[in-house]
Amino acid sequence: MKLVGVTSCIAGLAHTPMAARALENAGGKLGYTVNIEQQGAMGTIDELTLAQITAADIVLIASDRTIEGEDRFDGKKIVRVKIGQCVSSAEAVLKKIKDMI
Amino acid sequence: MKNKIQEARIHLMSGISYILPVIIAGSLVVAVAKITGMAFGVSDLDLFADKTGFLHYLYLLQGVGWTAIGMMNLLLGGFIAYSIAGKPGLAAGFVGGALASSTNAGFLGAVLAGFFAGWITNQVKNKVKITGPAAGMLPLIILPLITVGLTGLLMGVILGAPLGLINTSLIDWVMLMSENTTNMIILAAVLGAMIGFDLGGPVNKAAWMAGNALYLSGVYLPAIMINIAICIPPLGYGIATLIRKNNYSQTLKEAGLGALVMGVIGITEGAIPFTLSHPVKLIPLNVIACSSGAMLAIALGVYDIMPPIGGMYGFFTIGNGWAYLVGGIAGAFIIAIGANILCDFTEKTQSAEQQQAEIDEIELIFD
Repeated sequence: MKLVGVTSCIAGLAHTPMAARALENAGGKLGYTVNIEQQGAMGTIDELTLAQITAADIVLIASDRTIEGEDRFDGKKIVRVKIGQCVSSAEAVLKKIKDMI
Repeated sequence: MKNKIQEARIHLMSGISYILPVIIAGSLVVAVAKITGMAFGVSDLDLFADKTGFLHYLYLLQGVGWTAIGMMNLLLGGFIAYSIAGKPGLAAGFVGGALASSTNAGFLGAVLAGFFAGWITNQVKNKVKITGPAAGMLPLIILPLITVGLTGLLMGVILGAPLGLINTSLIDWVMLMSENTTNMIILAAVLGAMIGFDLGGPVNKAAWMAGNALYLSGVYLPAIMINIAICIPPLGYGIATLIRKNNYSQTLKEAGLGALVMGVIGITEGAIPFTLSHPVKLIPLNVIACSSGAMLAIALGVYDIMPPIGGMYGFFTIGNGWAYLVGGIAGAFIIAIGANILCDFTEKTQSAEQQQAEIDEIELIFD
């Protein structure tokens, strides 16, 4: 499975990078390609490339706020997850998404 | 209905995420100016408004901070509208937010203005269609005229006076309450408990917003209570990992150092990795610790002298700063000791059942 995602929380300090790292690590462990863009306090980190988005099977959005550039994902399959659950159970999140698509 | 509320919450949080740096920068600049002034034995820089020399420069610097703080309603209105309607919503949101300041409608007014501006912008975008050579008029002339006009009418003419009245009476009421220490201790207990309940989630941010709404109106004590409570959970777990190192998995040991830093600068989210490992036991512990810490600081006589800044080091912007530190550290030790007694944080392999339960708990929403 190829997954791209965006994480973003209110202050952009804690949940945003924690969730992104947890998802990427879990992806590595499970053998999925996972690329996560962080929209945090210092702007965008690890911005998704057009190639990554085009290649992805699914787009994950884990955010407490409106994200920037959601129109990039027009026409893709989008799944929304609570950002807290990505921090605590990233592996389970990815497994469940894999099962449902 | 639930979806609408959820959506509204996301727009409100977006607005807040944009104004956070402005609030923090403003209060830091005011604090630097005031404290430098105090070092020279001057507690009120306003006395130097018409003079010359170093203290006059400090007065000007303080004005920079107040300018930042003063923009808050304007920006909040603008960015809530931006979250709802994108760029076309900004103009009406900014104007509505500015009107909330000038009519004393305050934070509540700014939130309302932002939502109205965003909504009306979407209405105009979706309903008004102009084709042909005049199409260019819509984004530059017609849309701003309608959205800014109607938002302005609502905020400046219709709701300005009643909202201003609500806002001022609310502040008067809190001011009156703050003359009574018992009331303040109860308020500290409630706000502290809310901060500890979900560490950066909706209940936490509701308390934080209440504190900030009053902060914007120059009532600083509730914000101080909140600032103490925010430091307690991350600081507590950070200390906990130092007290009993072998009670923690490698990952949590590393998270412990991060949590210490977050405790000092005031980010509750640092406590999340710990709390999530045993939520049933640790959420009540967090609530008790935050609540007790905030109560203790108020009971020991913390009072406001200037716009407070967050984090443990915020004590120097607060009257009886030592009591602020005592409250924060006492709360942190409730967590540090309680967590080590109640829970085992070492890594355990999950049974297949637990893994399945974890997977079942996750909510996925497909568009």
